[in-house]
Amino acid sequence: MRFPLFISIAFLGLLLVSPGTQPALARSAGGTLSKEIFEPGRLKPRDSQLKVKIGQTAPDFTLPEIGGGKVTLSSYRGKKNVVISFVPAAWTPVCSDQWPGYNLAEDEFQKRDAVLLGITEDNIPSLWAWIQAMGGVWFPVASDFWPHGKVAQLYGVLRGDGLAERALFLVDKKGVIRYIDVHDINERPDLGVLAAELDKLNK
Amino acid sequence: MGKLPNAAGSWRRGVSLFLLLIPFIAFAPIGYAQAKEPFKQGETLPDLVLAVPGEASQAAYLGLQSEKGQTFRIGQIKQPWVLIEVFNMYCTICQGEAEKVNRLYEKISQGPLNDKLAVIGIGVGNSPFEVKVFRNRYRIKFPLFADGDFKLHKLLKEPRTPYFLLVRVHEPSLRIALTNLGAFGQVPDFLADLEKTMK
Repeated sequence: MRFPLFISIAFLGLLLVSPGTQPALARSAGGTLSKEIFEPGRLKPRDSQLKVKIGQTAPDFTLPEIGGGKVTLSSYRGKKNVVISFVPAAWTPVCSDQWPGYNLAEDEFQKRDAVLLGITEDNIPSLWAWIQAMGGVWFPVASDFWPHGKVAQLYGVLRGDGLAERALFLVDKKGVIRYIDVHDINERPDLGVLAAELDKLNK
Repeated sequence: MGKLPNAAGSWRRGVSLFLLLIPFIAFAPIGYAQAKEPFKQGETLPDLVLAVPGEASQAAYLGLQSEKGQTFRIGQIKQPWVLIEVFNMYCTICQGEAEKVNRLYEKISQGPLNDKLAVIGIGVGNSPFEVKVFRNRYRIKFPLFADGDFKLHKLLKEPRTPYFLLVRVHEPSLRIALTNLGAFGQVPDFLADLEKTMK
């Protein structure tokens, strides 16, 4: 019986050192974070029940942000349109290039008199490290870690595993929700669609 | 006592089977995550169909007679060589490389290679709006094309980005002469590699 056991161990060892099995590649195209990204495989596209709708006042919240301060949704009322971008988790594919893309598009948000507010369910240290690895972003990034997922739950985008959905909420200057996109968690929303929705607010 | 050796044998068989199965269980999702085998030098580029650039000057740069809204194939580009940058607006390496690629394009378009080598970019997974954001942010002068549905990305064997392909447009048609996955290092060095390959 020793022979098959030895063969099994040797086979396992060979596979473990084989370059073809190194889990370093993320699914989406691109990103400087590619080596650090955890690949969760394909997830259930959506795993929550929305609790808000277009036309209602967006539930207010205050969350800690990675800069050390706090961010309150209602503080933008009367001043700016707000795009709330929930992403599932730091150090995961899609999320790790969605915000760098928004970072590049700062002018597009400014042109449309909008601010972006990024939220994940990660704690501040992890979120801070992830954003630093991206090279920083221009918009506030807030943690909905504790009480875990309180804001995501308020909006109905907290998944069963404690992650947030990949969701966008567009809140106008009156504090009213004007657009909702709870996207397939495995895919990145088209920025062009969001820009078009922002354009509608400014007409 | 007589049953002990059999129990031990079963245990070992179980362990052996488990060890044999571990790689298939543990690495099952990885095959899904890995990119396909990249192109090799000498392979033929798939037949890529692109939209004719909206700006007349860019269509003229590529020698295209077609009208805006129509499509063209790489083989219709007038220059004998084309450098294709496969990028993604969301990719931070592509963002970091953009200024360098601009400098490379300037060197090519202002030097003797201008009539010999065209430069184009394909934004894989990017909508026309996202490509426009990338173009405006970096003031990119060479033609960029959107590939929002990843159709071209699939034909290009789903490379990570950025990815550069130097392709012989004519004779032999669409022959891949050089590839570079990731950042290409210094502009003069990469330009020298391109020139050497095109000789």
